[in-house]
Amino acid sequence: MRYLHSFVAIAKREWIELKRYWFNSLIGLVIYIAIFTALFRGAQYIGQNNYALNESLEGFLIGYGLWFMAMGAFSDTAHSIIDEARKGTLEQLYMTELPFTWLLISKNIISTVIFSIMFLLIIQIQLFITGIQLHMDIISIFTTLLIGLFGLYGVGLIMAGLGLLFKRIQNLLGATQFIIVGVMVASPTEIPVVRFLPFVHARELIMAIMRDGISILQFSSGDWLFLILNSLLYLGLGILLYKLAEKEVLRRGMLGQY
Amino acid sequence: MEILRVKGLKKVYPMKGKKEFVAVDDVSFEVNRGEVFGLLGPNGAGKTSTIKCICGLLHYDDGDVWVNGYSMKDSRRRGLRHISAVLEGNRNIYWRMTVKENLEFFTGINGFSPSKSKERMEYLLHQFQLLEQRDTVVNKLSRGMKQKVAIAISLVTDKEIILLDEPTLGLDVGMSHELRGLLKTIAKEEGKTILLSTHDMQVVEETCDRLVIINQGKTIVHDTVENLMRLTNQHFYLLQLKNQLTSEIKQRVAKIAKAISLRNDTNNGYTYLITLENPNGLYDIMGMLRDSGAELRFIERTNNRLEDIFINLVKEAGNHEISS
Repeated sequence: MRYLHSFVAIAKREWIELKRYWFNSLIGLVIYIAIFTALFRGAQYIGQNNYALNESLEGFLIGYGLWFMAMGAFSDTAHSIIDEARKGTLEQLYMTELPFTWLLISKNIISTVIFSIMFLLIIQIQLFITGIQLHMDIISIFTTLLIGLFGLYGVGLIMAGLGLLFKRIQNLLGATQFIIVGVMVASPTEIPVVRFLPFVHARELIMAIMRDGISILQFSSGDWLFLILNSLLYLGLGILLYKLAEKEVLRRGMLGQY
Repeated sequence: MEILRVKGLKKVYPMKGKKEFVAVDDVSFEVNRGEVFGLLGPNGAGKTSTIKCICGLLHYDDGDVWVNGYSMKDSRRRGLRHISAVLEGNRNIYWRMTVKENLEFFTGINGFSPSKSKERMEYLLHQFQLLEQRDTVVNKLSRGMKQKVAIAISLVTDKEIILLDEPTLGLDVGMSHELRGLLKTIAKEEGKTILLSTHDMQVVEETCDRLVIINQGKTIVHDTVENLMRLTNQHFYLLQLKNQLTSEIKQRVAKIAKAISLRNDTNNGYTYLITLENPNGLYDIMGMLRDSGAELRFIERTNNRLEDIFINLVKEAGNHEISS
């Protein structure tokens, strides 16, 4: 019950912040759609009625939406911890009776719900703009996202640990955005090893759901295993490296410093 | 009965290269249930490091801290069930949320139901005179108000021990006075155990039962405030004269008195604080002043001032940077 109360408290805080800063979120969304529209129209103009291009435009539409989500997921974890340290509230969160890891997981679950809603909204707007038809199996998309995003949260935790240790890591965060673009376009059929990167398999499965209309019930046991293990691996690695950074930060007394 | 015990605490910070800085060195003290305990020391004495070790935000190198019997080294989370803290005053709260939202949030993340804690929240809002500001975003409040909100939050989960790091730092005279009153109320009416670090001697004099003074990480004094004030063999007198003393007279007074300092000069005259080790020295000083033609407006014996005692003790311990 205590864990539930803390989960609800975090959910309420996220909602308050979202409500209070709705204008900022809206502008971000508008800019994102505007850039997408410009890129899409440009590609359409160059390709004219090329069938192969039309097919790859579907991939571009989904990939662009997923990139937006992935960016939000990894930077949300890193930024929120660094921001709490900057504001001076991180020490208070560390002093709660419940483990800090639980507070982080709670925040990530809530963020996943928010990101998923935004993703579905963005995709709907993109479909309306482009006239492309995709399969919108919401349960399948949400389930795959929920599992897949935890791998990215692991990457976010690694960044947060580095942020606590080195304080200013904006350049690294900026560079990671481009790495994620690479993750979003790398094809496991051409380079099989990229399948082991975080979120790549989840991305492939979401593409299959939306483009080919398959549902999670049609996922093979290998797909499920790889999806879950990939996310657990990166989340575990993220927690481990964050804990190492935290140990050093607690030794140096830098938790409240920024 | 003790609720908090610090024994042989040592904290060493790694520095650049292979150098180390010993911030806390073999500090020991116990705090009893329902007691207000002061942790004093000049800047860099190790007060904040000690407090952070107590609340598990800093790993220590030697010794241990027991909170209600739980070692903060081995059972940190159990110890945290009994502690809440205001470490950096108003930095510890969410400035973009309202007072009520902050109270609800910190109740919730500690695993308590905000609806069940509603009565407690209302009581604290009333007690801290924050009822009018309950729906105000913290960012819009004054520094003193923010400090009050932070302390109210530390009390919302009703834990036994409250740690306050410099609770009156940066507050104006009025707000500092109000906060001292609040601390006394919390200790008396709620029976909370309070451990506070401060530079503000008035806070210690008015609120603390016992204190420990640390300097350069080491304990200098560990006693009751009353004992400390009584045991230091000094007598303080305030003398108001019509005119300022000449440097020659001041030098002659200084030969008899331990110290003489000008406290203030107003339209009414010049007020000097004279510190004597032997009260009979006052006869000689008065004779000297009479002979020099100085016009006495009033004379008053003051109590031993903790601030002076603190400065003397730290000076004796060999620290030149004293904040008072």
